[in-house]
Amino acid sequence: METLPRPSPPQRGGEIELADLLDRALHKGVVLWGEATISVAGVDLVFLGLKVLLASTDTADRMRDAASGRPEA
Amino acid sequence: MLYLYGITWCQADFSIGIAGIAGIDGFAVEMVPCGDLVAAASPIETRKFAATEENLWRHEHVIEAIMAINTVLPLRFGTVAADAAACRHLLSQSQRQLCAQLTLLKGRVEFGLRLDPDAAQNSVETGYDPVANRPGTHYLQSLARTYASWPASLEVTLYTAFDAYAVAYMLWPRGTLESELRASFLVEKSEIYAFRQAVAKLQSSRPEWRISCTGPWPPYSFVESKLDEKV
Repeated sequence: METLPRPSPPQRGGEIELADLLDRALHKGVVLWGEATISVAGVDLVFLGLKVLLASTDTADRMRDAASGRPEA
Repeated sequence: MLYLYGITWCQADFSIGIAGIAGIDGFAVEMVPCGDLVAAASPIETRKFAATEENLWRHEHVIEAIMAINTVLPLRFGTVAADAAACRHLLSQSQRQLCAQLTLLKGRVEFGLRLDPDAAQNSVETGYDPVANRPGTHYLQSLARTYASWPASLEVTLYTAFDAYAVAYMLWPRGTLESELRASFLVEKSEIYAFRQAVAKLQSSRPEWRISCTGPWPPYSFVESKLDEKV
């Protein structure tokens, strides 16, 4: 019978977990359309009429670039 | 003003499960019911709340507390509604889709996997020749690889390692600066130990790879993020 390696304990609170949380909480998850806004520190609130979706500074940067006519990086 | 964390089925004992959990800026979490659904929310004083690491973890801890009780649809960090009436309106306008997603994700959680294949890349990519005497060509080939998807053989390795334990998986887009492959796996709660064991087995079989696994997370990567306005 094959002896399987013991799984590593789950990582909580470390840099990798924070990075994974940022990936998920800022880029994934349900976006509600309508009377909701999404606000993230370091960038201004982005209002798109009644529809607002802002996930991350990356998204905000692209929106800001689009608004100012600058090409995306 | 209400900060919204996640959506789940409406059930009677939620107030017990989330009692004592501090939400964004330390405010108590409450439930806003609407039909079969309920949204976890807490008051905030201003739309421009501080998006600090502490608040990010508070967002996560509230969602995880709900996940411990029932299936949850995590909302994107920073979702704010004017008041409970606006929150109920948001739930009602997408109720059918939200219920369908909750049904689909019942009993399932997400794991994150990071794998640094740099050390393994040459052995994985058969036929790759760096053309040592032509540094320009080598550079352009490296650049092309950066913008390309991950080698198919690497995907096959992941698929083989985790197919038996994951309901679904997705690869994150390959970043131009990151050397790590990032993947998300949707796993039944009953398979959590087996999944972790599969991660350990893969690391054991490929010690030259640096593999890290985090989770279980709420199923952020497997919810339909953009809902129709009205269903």
